Amino acid sequence: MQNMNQAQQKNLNTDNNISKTGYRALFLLKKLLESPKTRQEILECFEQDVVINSDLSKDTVTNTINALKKAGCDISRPSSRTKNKYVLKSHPFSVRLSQTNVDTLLALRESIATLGDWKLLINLNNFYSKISKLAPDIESQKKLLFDHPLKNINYDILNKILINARLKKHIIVCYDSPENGQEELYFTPDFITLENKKLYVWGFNKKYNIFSYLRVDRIKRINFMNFLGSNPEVEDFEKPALVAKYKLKGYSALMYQLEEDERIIEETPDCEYKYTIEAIVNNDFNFLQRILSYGSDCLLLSPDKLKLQLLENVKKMKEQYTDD
Amino acid sequence: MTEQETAEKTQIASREKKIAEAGIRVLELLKALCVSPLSLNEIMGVIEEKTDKFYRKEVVTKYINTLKLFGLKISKEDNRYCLLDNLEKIDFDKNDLSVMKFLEKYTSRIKHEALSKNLHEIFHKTEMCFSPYTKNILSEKEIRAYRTRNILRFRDENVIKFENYCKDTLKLEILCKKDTGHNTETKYIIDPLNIIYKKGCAVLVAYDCQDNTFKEFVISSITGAKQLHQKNSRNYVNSVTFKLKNRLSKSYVLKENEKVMDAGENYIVISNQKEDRNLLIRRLSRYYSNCEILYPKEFREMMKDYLESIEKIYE
Repeated sequence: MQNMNQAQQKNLNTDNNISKTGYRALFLLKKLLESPKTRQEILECFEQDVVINSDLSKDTVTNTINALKKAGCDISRPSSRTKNKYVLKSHPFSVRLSQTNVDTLLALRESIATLGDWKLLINLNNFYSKISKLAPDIESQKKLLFDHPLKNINYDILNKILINARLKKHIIVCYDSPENGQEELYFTPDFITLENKKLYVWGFNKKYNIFSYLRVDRIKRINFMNFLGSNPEVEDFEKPALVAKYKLKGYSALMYQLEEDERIIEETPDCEYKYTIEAIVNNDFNFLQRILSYGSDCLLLSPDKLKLQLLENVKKMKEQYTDD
Repeated sequence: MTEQETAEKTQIASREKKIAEAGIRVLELLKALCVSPLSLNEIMGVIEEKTDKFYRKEVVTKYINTLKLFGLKISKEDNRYCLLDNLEKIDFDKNDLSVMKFLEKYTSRIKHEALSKNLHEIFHKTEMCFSPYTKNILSEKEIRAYRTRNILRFRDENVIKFENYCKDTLKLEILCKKDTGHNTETKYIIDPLNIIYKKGCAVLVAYDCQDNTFKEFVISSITGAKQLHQKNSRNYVNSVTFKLKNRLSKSYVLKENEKVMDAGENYIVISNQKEDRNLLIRRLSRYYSNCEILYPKEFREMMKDYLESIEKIYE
């Protein structure tokens, strides 16, 4: 162990300058953190340590265990169930995040989720899952672990989707559709987006012969998939080639963030409309959803086909309020 | 005292004797240092409180030496002993470290003092848990902050000012640029509640005391603010009821502050409590005619106006 070297470096006289009993308690705590141990194993560990380095009695183990318990450790008694080992269930010797720390982390995640970067959100969740061990209580720990928009995502499924998107190969998914219940879909994934705190996979849906999207949390299983080593037969599907142009002003321009398959073709900060955007429309329904949410901040320039669809939908929506 | 009680007391006493007392004192010291840095006198106080005995400074120094010898890093800052190491280690990988750098950059750019201060504290605690594996990564590789798909554009310089307004819990009169982008301003009397960040913008969440609704104001759009000598109201009422139809009624995920009021074969009725009505309209419009606003009447009118304003653009 390095401790003796440290002792020498610091010129500590291990007989006078330290508490050997205290050291033993810390040492035992460390050993129990590594794994449960029998009394005999503990004695062997004591003997091998250069600072303790002495033949101690079984009572010393009991005394040290009692000290750990009195200081707040939850240690189960050795029994046949624990294979006669002392098991450290919990201890109070760890830095803890405060409630304010937890609230800060949650507020940051809430804010980062609005950036639409799903990879960042997954990395952030992984980081939070590690530091959740430092949470002050179970409730906060649960919040750090599960209080996020991707909580219902099966990462195994997501991984398989990503592999096949890279290979441009199809998968057969069991999709829990709100309309038709569980159905099998022959789907070639292309890319992933995070919109309104939900994860979507975009790709070619052979059943309906369209380029569309599926909510990842609604994919229950992948019934067939290609592995990396398999014959790389790339699926042939045509991505939509419909290009739309629109202008944005006001609040929508202020909060605008580039979506997948979009680019700003003109930026005019001093004009009423701040941005002119060109978008490849992968799915009419989804694109018009976005245009509708911009309200009168958005002027759809082209194509006329989408303008007509937009106005038809607005008219239909308005019909619900004509009696007022 | 009965014979049984005497026997129990003796038993407890003998059990207590079988405790390594110095061990407890060192452990109590470690426990206290896990919570906050302590001066020598404070440490003496902690140990005395736990053991009901007086200890000399030399003894306490001996206990600190014990922690150091055990391998825990302890530094002395402003006459306080500060634990720089956690007993339990966590393996943070390159992605975690990159996210940490991103968070640091992100909070420093959003200029929210409380968040930055807190994050600094969180990272101090996290670094105490770095395992040898993590330290090795740090020594071998240069870790760069995660790069987002979109460039983050932060435009808010006044966040700290509004952060303080929220703390003061006094009403605020603000002037805001109109959403339409014209050079007109609107005056609001609000209860400032908190600051959130959306798509890289600082947003003030407030309760509009004039029309009794929750509102979100992008801070960079606020052109003037004056604190009034009137306390926040605290009783906020802002309920909106809407109906979702067809497949949406089955797939809809309830938002925070939403509850289902009624549900049928092909519909659900939802009550939304706290969302900014302008933003709620934008969100609900995404649902096409699968959504109908039921209550209050003025919110139905708002939706109607919203739709008419879209139509007008193409007339």
